[in-house]
Amino acid sequence: MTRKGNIKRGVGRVLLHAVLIFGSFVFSIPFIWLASTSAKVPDEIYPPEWLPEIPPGVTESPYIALRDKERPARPAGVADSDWERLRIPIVESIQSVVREKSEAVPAFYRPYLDETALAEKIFARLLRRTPDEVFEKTEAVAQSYFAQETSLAIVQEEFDAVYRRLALADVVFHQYDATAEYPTADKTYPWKVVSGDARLVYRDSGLRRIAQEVHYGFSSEKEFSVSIQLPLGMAPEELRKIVVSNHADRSWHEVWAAVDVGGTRYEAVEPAYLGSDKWQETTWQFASEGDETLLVRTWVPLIAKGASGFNVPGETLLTLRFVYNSRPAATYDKYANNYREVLRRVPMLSYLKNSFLLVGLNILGQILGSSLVAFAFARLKWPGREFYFVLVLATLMIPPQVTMIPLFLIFRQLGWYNTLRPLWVPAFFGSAFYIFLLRQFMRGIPKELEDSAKIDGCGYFGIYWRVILPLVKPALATIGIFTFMTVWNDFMGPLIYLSDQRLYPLSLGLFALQVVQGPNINYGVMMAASVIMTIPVIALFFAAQRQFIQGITLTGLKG
Amino acid sequence: MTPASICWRRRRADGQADAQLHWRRSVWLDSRGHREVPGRMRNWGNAIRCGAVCALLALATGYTAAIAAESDAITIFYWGNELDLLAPELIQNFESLHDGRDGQPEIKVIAGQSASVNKTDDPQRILCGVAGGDPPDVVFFDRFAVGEWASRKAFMSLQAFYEEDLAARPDDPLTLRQEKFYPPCWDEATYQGELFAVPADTDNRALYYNLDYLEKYAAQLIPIGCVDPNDPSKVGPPRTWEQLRQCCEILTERDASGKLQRVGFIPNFGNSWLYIYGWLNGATFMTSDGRTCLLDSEEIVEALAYMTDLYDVMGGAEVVNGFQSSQEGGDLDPFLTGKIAMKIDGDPYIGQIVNMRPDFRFGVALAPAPEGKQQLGWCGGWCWVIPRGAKHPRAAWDFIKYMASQDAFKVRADATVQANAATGGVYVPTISAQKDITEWAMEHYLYSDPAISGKFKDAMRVFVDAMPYSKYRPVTAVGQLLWDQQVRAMQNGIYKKYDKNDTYLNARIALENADAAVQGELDRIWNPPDYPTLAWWPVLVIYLAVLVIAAIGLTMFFSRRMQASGYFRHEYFAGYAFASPWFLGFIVFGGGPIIFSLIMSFCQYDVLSPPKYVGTLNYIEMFTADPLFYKSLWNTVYMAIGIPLGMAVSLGIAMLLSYEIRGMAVYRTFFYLPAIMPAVAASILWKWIFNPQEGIMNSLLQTFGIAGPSWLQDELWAKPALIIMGLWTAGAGMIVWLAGLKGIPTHLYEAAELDGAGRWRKFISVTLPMLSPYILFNLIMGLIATFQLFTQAYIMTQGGPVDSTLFYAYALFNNAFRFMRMGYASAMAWFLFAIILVLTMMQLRLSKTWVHYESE
Repeated sequence: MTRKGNIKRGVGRVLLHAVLIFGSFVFSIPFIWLASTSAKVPDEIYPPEWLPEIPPGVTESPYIALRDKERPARPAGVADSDWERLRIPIVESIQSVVREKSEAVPAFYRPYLDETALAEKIFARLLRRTPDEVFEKTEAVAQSYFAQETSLAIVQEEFDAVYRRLALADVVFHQYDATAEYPTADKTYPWKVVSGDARLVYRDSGLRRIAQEVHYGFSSEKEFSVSIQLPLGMAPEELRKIVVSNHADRSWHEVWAAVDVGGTRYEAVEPAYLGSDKWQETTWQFASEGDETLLVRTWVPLIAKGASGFNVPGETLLTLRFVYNSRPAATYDKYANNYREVLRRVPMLSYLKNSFLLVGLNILGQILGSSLVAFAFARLKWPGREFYFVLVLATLMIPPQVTMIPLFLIFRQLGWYNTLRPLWVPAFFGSAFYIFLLRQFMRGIPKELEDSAKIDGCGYFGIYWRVILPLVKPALATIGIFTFMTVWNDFMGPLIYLSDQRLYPLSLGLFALQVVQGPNINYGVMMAASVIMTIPVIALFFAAQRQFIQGITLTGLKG
Repeated sequence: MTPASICWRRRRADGQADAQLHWRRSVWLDSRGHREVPGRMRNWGNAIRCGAVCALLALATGYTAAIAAESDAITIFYWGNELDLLAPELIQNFESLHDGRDGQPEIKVIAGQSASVNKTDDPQRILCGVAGGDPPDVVFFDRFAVGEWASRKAFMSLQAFYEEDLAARPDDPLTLRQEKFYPPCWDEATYQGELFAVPADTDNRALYYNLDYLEKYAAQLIPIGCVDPNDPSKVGPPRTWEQLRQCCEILTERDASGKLQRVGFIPNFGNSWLYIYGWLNGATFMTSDGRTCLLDSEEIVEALAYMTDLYDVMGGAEVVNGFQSSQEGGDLDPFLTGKIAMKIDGDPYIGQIVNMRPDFRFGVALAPAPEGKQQLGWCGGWCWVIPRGAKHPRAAWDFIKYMASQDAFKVRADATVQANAATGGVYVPTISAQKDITEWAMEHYLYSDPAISGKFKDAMRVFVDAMPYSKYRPVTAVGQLLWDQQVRAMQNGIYKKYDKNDTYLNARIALENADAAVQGELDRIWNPPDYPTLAWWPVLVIYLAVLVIAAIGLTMFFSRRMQASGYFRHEYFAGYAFASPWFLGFIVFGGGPIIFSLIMSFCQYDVLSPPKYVGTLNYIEMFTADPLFYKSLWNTVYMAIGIPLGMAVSLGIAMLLSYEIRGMAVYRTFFYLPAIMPAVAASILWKWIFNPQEGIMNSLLQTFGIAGPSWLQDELWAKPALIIMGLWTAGAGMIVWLAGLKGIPTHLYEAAELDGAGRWRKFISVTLPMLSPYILFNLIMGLIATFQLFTQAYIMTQGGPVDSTLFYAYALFNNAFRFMRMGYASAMAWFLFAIILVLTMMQLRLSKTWVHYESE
């Protein structure tokens, strides 16, 4: 090989890689988008961004923050030059108004009023109803317009939006048909700090709910605990779940709950996360048998962890332990959140088992059945072969919609309704698409191979099994991939033939999460379900494509 | 070269040698080694493998046949909705009411998914259940379709149960009473004076307006009369059609180049349809006896002309619909993002605002009406029905009564509250079909909650207060057809298909066509010609006869041609033997349904009642009286240009991916990704990509200075958009090519190189001929797939805009499952079959001249 040739080949190789990398990027756009959306919480779906938000990595809370999309953006009707000219003066004028109002707002606001984030948020909000003409006027006019519009009510509302804090409020004990409520407003049963660097502050004005704010820092210790001691008001064994109203600070730190009741200590099996920045209600529920049924689990289970050190008759101790999550860990927890949600909604293992059973049987069936039949059509000469081949193809040409009902009746007559059989048995009889595909492959194999095998005493089955099948491995891999995808994603078949949920495959189980459903659709969860459906196919393809590497080398025969 | 790559090269070379060796061994050495055992090849490995497979199959058969355990109690099957699955107490509570201790039979409930899970009205599941005589006992069903199914006797009449309860148990709190229901809800569940369903929930429609925008343009809006009814100095929503028209102009915003930045109001964005404009204008869509369609009445023509005018104010339907990001809901909603200033939508949308944009400033008012006419909304909703053939109708009725009770409403609502609260969401109750329950729920969950802002409470009040005089879609046997024709007429109207200049005339023609289609079907149902009913057994006899005759005939025919004997005769039998799995499958599963559909194509058949023989009527109608037949055929033929394109692209990719370089496994996987995207997720992405305003496609074109079309909203560009979409998923075709490319013996290339052939020459003289079997395969399969193109139309475009993506298989699906015309659908299927068969035969015939098989 000459040096020039080497260089040429090297350049070619680099070029090839470049083309392939570019193509890979173009073709993976849908999947990147799918995966990225699956890591988003509902309020970041719009406007579409490629990268899901990364948790801010806070170690001190509360704090003031403004998300990028909440910043004021130029209205379409306003000229670019006007916008650039007026934007900063307007924010400044709003900020000065905000400072003027400092006397009217609760004392704890005041340290935060200097933050531009608050002024920007107010600006963004006022912008929606500002006539475009305001921007065509002088600086002074625009400034005074916004200064005038900045009312105390708006300052309060927007402060609530940019002020990220962790706060705990009412606790409710549920038994089957009654509740015991302990509102924070009563101040009878306050939360207390047990350990760590944290401080509890009562807020009964200025924010939408009366609550105890938790001011914490993770600089010295990596966790802190707070607890609340409450009268139970019922027999310990009747207590079913505990609901805590709380406001998280978007920090994605972990919360672990523990409950001491009736001399036993119960601990949460998994953490909750300080993920959203809305008021929410977190439920901890004692694990029971019913948990494993096909229900949406919206609570964190509690399980017994031995005897309790807390022994006040008729009282319960609820302890929340907040654990620091480093930024990468918090990012992981946030990104995985929708996936956890999906797993909470479906009994994954049972569905997966059915899916894999169906997929496995179908692949086996299609490969055996279709290849046998294809062998007859490709390599054997028998009367009527061409006629029957057209008949095989013809079965593909009837739209399945019109044969669905009679086919259902046949399976029902066979007693196969509500069994998995209608979903895999037909595969063993071969299907036209694969028969055709394999026939084309098998016809491409030189006759000499078969002849020499015959001379060596091979029967037809021997030729099929030992000569033809090994040579059409790439085609069999193709069939495997196609079958896997078809069966794995098949939704209509299981829907029609199965009524027992224990037999449901994953496609049917996840379908409800995948469709565009109603007004409160959670795109993140939907995309997470889609990713879960996609991953096994990717894995299979990655594994099966090795079959395409070794080309058939027939030199030994022909050369 | 790095050591690693040397290493890798060596390994590859070894691998190849291994493969060769292995191959040689398996073909040559083995068969030689077994020469002493002629004909048969036995070895223990194979036997063990076979045994394992058989054992596995036996196990699988046993496992896959597991059926729910039986007990003494009555078990009723319930196909509910997702909310019921959230609330296990619902079923527990009912079962504890019927635990058998009161002397009544014990009842157990097994809940599963509903008939139309995906809310796009595909009833295949329940259709199979009813037709197969094994339906569930209670189904949660779209109330709108009750008339359609009741008229075909697919549901039990509940009138007797209802009256019996009124007489026997007047004091039972669970006894249902008509006067407790909102009149439109009750009426919608009643067909021909008999109760067929118990209404569950309902909704209502009204105008949502962006308060910020109204205030922004207050100076222009107040003079035209858009004022707050309580305070005329403040700006308020439009109340008349004229005000709405002017609002459209005022609130629409364009940038310097005239491109829309915001639209004031889109007549059919949200949930309004032609229906609401018709009702607002005083129309009824059908006569009260249900026999005459009034779609072309003066009121509706005016309403459609008005809708068209509104679109024109903002630049025409293509522009406006292109502007609207075609999402059905969620955070991409253009109303919430300020792209649309007003819309008509249902009350569930309040819940969306609460949770997505709690600080969003908006208001709700009844939809504007023509001057002097009543402002109103229209309602739909769900209900519970008992399908015909249910095993335990009495227990099912008890279950429905419980499900309709306030207790059940509370259990469901509480579960939803908890689910929502867990993620910081707020629950806004849905409107129950019963007035008392609605008032209680609103008070309990909404009005008494201080944390919910007053604007949401005021908004809900508007919907609830307007419920009693809300309109509802006619209860008729042709409800779905009426709906589709209403949509079609609306699109033909706003896109001005018949007369570009005269809006009114255009609307009239569009509606007359729609009316004719609905009336035709009504006449068929109400004045049926006396066609003979087709019994089932002849179908079976015919099928068997056909099988026997075919078998005898073919055997005789072929055996006459079978002149060879001995060794070759052996091959004949082997051929049949190897093909026998398929024959068996065809006889048991394949042939019957095919013959069945052929027979049905000569029948009037709605699956739910026995077929009636009508001769060639379906075919005659198809060719002479169905404009959609030709339209859909043309759409499908148009899509055929995607076949060669797709083949070329996927072949190109396959050639690229057939190189053997490092990392190819990863590259291949990436290229294959679009082909494995779940259809629904992919469709959302594609809608976004093709979004005329913000989509990737048009931004890309923009950089080249091309103003992109409205793609999926544009009649001309919707099909090309789908073809482009198909190209992206070329990966599916790619793997067939890849397998084919790998099957080309390398010695052919070596020989060509020796002859001095270049790359192109090698491609033309070696690659293409060797790939010709796969070209044939992809051609025929592409043809069949294209003619049966369905999913894209079903998920992405629903056939629109203006039927431009109404593909043949989608039209067929509509007839089969939505309009209940299985006979007609079968006729369509067989015509399609004929086309594909002829084309395939031609290709097969032609293929003899250009397809090269190495074995011949």
